[in-house]
Amino acid sequence: MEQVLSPSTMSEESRRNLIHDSLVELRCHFTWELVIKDNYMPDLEAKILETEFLDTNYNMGMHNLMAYVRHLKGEQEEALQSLKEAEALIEGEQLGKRSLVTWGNCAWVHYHRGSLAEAQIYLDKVENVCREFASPFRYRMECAEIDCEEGWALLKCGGSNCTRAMACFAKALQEEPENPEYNAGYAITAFRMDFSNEISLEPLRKAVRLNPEDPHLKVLLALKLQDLGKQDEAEKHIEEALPKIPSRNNIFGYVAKFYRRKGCVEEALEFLERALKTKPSSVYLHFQIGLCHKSRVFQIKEATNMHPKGKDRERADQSIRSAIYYFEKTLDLKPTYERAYIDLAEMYAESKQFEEAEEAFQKVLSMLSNLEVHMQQEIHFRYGKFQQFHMKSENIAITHYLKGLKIEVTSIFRDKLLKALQKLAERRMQQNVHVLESLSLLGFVYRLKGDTRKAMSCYEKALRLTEELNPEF
Amino acid sequence: MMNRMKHAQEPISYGSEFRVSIYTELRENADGDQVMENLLQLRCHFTWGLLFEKNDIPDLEVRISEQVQFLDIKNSLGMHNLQAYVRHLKGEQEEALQSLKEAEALIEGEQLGKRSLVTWGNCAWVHYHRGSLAEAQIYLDKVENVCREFSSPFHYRMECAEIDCEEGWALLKCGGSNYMRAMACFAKALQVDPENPEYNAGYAVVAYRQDFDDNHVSLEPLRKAVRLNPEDPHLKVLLALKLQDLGEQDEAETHIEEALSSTSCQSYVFRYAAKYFRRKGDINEALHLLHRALQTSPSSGYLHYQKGLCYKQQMIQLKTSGNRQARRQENIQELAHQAICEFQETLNLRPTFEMAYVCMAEMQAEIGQYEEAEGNFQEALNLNNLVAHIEQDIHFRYGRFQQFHKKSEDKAITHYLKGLKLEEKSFAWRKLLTALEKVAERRVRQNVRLVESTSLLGLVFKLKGQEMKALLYYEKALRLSGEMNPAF
Repeated sequence: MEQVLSPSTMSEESRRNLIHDSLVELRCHFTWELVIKDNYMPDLEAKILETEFLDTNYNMGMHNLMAYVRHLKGEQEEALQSLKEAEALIEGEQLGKRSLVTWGNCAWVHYHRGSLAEAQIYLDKVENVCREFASPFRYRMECAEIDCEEGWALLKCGGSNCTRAMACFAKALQEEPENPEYNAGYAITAFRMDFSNEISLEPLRKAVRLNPEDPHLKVLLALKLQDLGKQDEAEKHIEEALPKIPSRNNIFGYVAKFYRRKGCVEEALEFLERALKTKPSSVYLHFQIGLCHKSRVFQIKEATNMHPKGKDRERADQSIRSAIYYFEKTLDLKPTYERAYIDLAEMYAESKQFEEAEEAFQKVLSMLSNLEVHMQQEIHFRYGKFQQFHMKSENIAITHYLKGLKIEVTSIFRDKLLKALQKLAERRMQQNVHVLESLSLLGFVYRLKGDTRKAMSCYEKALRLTEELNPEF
Repeated sequence: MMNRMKHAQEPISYGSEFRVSIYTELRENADGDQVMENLLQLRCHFTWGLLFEKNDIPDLEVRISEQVQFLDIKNSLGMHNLQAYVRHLKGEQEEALQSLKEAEALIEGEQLGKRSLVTWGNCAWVHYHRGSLAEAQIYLDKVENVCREFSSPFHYRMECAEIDCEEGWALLKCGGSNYMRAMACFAKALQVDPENPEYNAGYAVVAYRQDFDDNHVSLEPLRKAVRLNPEDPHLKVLLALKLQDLGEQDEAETHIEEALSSTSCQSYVFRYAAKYFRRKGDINEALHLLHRALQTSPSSGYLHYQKGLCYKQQMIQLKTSGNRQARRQENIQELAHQAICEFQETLNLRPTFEMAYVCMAEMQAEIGQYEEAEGNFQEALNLNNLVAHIEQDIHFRYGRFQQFHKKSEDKAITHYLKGLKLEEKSFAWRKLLTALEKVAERRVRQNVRLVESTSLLGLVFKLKGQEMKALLYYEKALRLSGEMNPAF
């Protein structure tokens, strides 16, 4: 039986289609293909809420991102509420092109809740601004300001979004190379992606120069300088930044990290305890506290020539228990926090609870395929070390050093894997243990380092040891 | 063990004898020592470090006399001098003097200027060795006068293109070990006089002898030499052979016809033209020319060798024609025997002719005489002073013998590897690489000695300069060894 469509139904359907065609032209969170995994949603929401305390010129971006997240959770009215807050900011300032992001998101939200008339109102607003700025597109504005907004959104979502965030800020910087905000965004993204201590130092220096009142950038620069062994210069930036940090700011987590790595565990713990009072559910803060206790364990061991006794032994054991407590707490708060499993495992290993350590490592190894490649390298490296030095199982260590090295991205941990494998191979050769395999592993290391001549030489020596080759080889 | 003969050793070996003689006759050591110091400054055969084996001397003498007799006008002076030197090495001092007299006779008949210095230098040395210090001094004085006349900065040494050229021709005549230095001599002379016909001819001939890889270094030098020496058929034949190498058949044919129509240097032209026709496939014509050349040079090792190559090629053609008739089989045997006889005669005349051993061995292999073949391959491999690309070729052909006749792939691989270790990138080296690659690939496909075969493929890629591919094959071989961590 043919169903005759009423004129009003046809009109409604085609109107929806027309509006959708316009919506996809917009530049806003709905079209930016933000990669947000389901299990990351709660963390992201918490992070955005934390942003409320940031001393930032514009909270608008965060309100917009919150709206998008709420939409993804199916909370349309709450999404509208976030957008209202973003619009309130618009009314208070001349935001010009940046308003387009909010209006674009408004259009999408209204579309999804079925308010086509409202959606059209916001589409018209966007179109008017595009016309005003002589955009060649009806609903799309190509400009540095929106590139920057896209960059911030991507950066906030983290993970695989960072590469694109970097490209967005770089694009904006092509237009205005000395823009303070674009440089800040670029530097922070570079810092996040700097797995080999190569790309972020100069961007951070420049961003600090252009944003002299921003303590966040100073702290990141200090951490990078610390990574590069420039402790004095790093100290200077920390001291400059401290008085400027608002009391409820989560930058204190970074400051604590700085002091912990400097060896000042007590100062670090002070900052962290204070910050924890304002954010008792912070995954990051619990983790950092755990790292402080872990750090204290190694300080005690170093001070006692790796063999603490008596009171030192007690203090070390207490620190181990504390570290384990905080890492466990971190994982209670966020079961997918892979880094905490590794540190937890290493603390179990220090207290010779090898079964628990293995269990924690296996847990993180089972998560491997979901993780970033840099993190995979780190996990293989640290598990390999565990097997080599705690379990005395060199074969398993070799397996994991090799698996880590099969991941070909450049990073600090790739270098560490190469060194670990090289040292292990060289020692076994000196001890005449598995010489053929050790020579091959050494050749593999040289190949990955780009020294093909040495790699060739090692492989050929190893092959001769198989005694399966023609003697003339 | 054969002793390598090099003139630099001569003064040492004769020193004590002549000192006694000097003391007896002149009761003065000082004069003799001073004469020796002066002699060493001379530029002549005694100071040129000519490299050849004692075994090579008979064939060298034959070739010298052939050149004097058949290479019209060219370089007779040089050949008389070289003959004198060879006779000296044989201990025939009076005969050496005779050769030098003939050289001097040529000098008197022409204005040879600086070239006379070579003859006079050799005269001084010969007289010194026969104990005639006064005569030696006379020739030293002659040299010194000419050096002074040409404002040489040295008493007895003249730096000039003419003597560079003479040295080049002498080196060229004395065999493969000397070719590189000969080339340098002619190149040096050409720097002084780039359009000189003789220097260009010498350079082109040496370049041709050295042309054993893909660079074809001799083509342009030969073209230039022919242009500057339009009446020289010897150069034309060499150019024709080079063009034949490059597949330029028509142009090659033109030069061959021009060369054959000339009446100069006929014996030399015949031997090279024969090679041309053999490689063209016209073996009867080649044999005809060789027979004619042998009538005038019956003791030429080279001619017998070329004749052997003709029979070898005929035999191979018969064998690959696919016809299995018994009469053809007899013909194959007959041709192989004829080839073997010619190669044997070659070796009688010139015992260090390495490729003759190889060719004879290959012919013996074709008729099932594996023991004899093996012996000859070993003779070739054990010769001293093998030039790298020739040694490579010997390993290649011995490797093929082991692979296809003896069915011993391990030995074949051994020799392909030995050949490849001689690092000169020649035609032979490339053939070794291809042979090794083929046998390794087949063994990999057939699962024969997988670790070894995979490793050999890695080595092949390494030698081809494809290092990453080589490393990956080595890694695959290491994995196959069963000794590696599974994650490797």
